[in-house]
Amino acid sequence: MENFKKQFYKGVLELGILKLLYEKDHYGYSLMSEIKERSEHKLQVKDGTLYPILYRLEDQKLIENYWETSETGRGKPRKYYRITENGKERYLQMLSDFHEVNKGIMSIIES
Amino acid sequence: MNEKYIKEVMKYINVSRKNKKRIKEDLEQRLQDALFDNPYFNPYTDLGAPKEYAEEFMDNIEESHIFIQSSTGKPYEYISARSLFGLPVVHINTGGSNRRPRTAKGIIAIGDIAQGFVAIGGISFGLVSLGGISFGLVSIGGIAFGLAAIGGVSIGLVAVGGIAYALSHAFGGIMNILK
Repeated sequence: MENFKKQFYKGVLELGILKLLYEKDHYGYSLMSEIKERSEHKLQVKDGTLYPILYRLEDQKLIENYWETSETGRGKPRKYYRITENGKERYLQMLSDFHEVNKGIMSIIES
Repeated sequence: MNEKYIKEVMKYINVSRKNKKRIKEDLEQRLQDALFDNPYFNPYTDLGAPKEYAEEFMDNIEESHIFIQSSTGKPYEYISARSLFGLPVVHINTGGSNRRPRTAKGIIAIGDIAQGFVAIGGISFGLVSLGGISFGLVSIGGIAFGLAAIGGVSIGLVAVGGIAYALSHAFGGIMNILK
């Protein structure tokens, strides 16, 4: 059961991360906070889960990073992640797949 | 405290140089952000022991470079991301025991037993082969077998060595032409 949750979580987390980056650029810590907040504390992603997903998305050229110093922040440059055009396309495809699979599974469970 | 924590975590991260750089960079920033958010932030209590923290990364990271290192630091394996003719360009696999030697197979292979176009190992098989015992077109080793063999004991078409046996030309302390 634990393994199912872990695998399922990783898959949907990738979708969640792309969604958040689709909306706006984020740095790692802000992504973590956003996931926690937007999921109403139901999802608490660990660093060792989040960053490898970001690296994988980056290697697939679905997201990219850049450094920027925020004027209102801590004053040091931060590494931000932003979604690429390929990433946007992939996100929309993944979202459609997710709805389709979810609908199918729910039909089975509720029948 | 952050620097110490990062150093300890990185000790347990055995990945490619590229990913190591990314992890260190992100971890440095992550700790700074957490500290900015909460002045009482303590990585040891808030993120867990460095080893466990690193293990979570190691469990989830995917890469074509795989580094395997035992806690004793002896066995070591490296497989390059690039491949040619179905073989990794570089495969290093060392640190096995006498009973269970580790075999490397690649364009360039380095291992307890090495098989490749260029093979370097305890026992090596390759077009160019260097090893304790080596077999190859050009073979250099303690005991070398090859078209051109150079070694303590060398046997080949052309052999150069302390003891050299050759079909064509032999050079060495003790030399014999095999006929």
